[in-house]
Amino acid sequence: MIFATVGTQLPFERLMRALDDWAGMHPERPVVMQLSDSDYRPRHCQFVAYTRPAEWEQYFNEADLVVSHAGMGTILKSLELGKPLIMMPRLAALGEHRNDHQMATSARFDGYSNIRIVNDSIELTAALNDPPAATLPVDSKENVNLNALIGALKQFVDGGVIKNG
Amino acid sequence: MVDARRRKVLLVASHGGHWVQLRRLAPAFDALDVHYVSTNPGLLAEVTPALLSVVPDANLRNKMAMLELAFRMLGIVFRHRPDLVVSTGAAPGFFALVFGKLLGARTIWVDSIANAERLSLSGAKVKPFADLWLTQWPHLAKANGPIFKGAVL
Repeated sequence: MIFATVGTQLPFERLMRALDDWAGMHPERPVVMQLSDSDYRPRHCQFVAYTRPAEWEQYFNEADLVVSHAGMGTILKSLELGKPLIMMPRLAALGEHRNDHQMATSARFDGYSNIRIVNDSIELTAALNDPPAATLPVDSKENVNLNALIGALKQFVDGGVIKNG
Repeated sequence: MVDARRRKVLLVASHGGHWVQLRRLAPAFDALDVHYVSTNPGLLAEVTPALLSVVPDANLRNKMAMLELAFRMLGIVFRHRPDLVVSTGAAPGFFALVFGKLLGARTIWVDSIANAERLSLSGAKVKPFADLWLTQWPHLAKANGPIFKGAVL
């Protein structure tokens, strides 16, 4: 199953349309879409406007491939699980978000092998036909950055002074 | 009876990426009495036995929602009187830090890792109310803050 998710704030019709077109040509690949508050109705996919957090986790876990906007929740979850993720950044010029921070976010996470960035329906189709492979979860007890940040927060909680460097 | 000596922390984030990041940082506050605030009641299952208060989400496009959020957050901070307030964003965290600071709590802002080019809007505005003001990107750290100490990834 492919799980497509666009977060809770804004719909993302450009992505959902392109995915629905692909799904129409690939009936063997069931797709579940989480659409947010959208008037768009896909013809070839199951869809839901919003999910409860536990349902979202379940769809995410069960999916062999996730398609999404460049949202941090989805990115972090896919890295945590090593789940293949195809993501399309929202563009402010098309009214898809307030600014282009999703372009910057995408660029930062382009290096992870389970993540593929696509910018239009053609690139999306190519990625769906040849999706990225699952990887080992990158998030683990050995996560140096996370441990450093938690360490600094603990130090602050204990009354310490935190400085750069 | 509540143990009066155990310090209280309010952990605040809107649902989605902010929440996932906040939850990842939660082990830093294991020694404290933790109370969560977010925008989706379904998150309670994930944090039980800790408690969760729910506030409406808001952004600058909707002034009324922003006002309601501010009032609700003021009520929560006033009722709980936390010793520490921590947030990864966005609007709910901004108000939590403002009111927390005004009511005498120490405050921590960890700007979302999604803000790789510049600090988030709420992250930039919250500076005067944050005792610890952090970015998750080393190239955004400056001498007078924000500070970089690590990231959730």
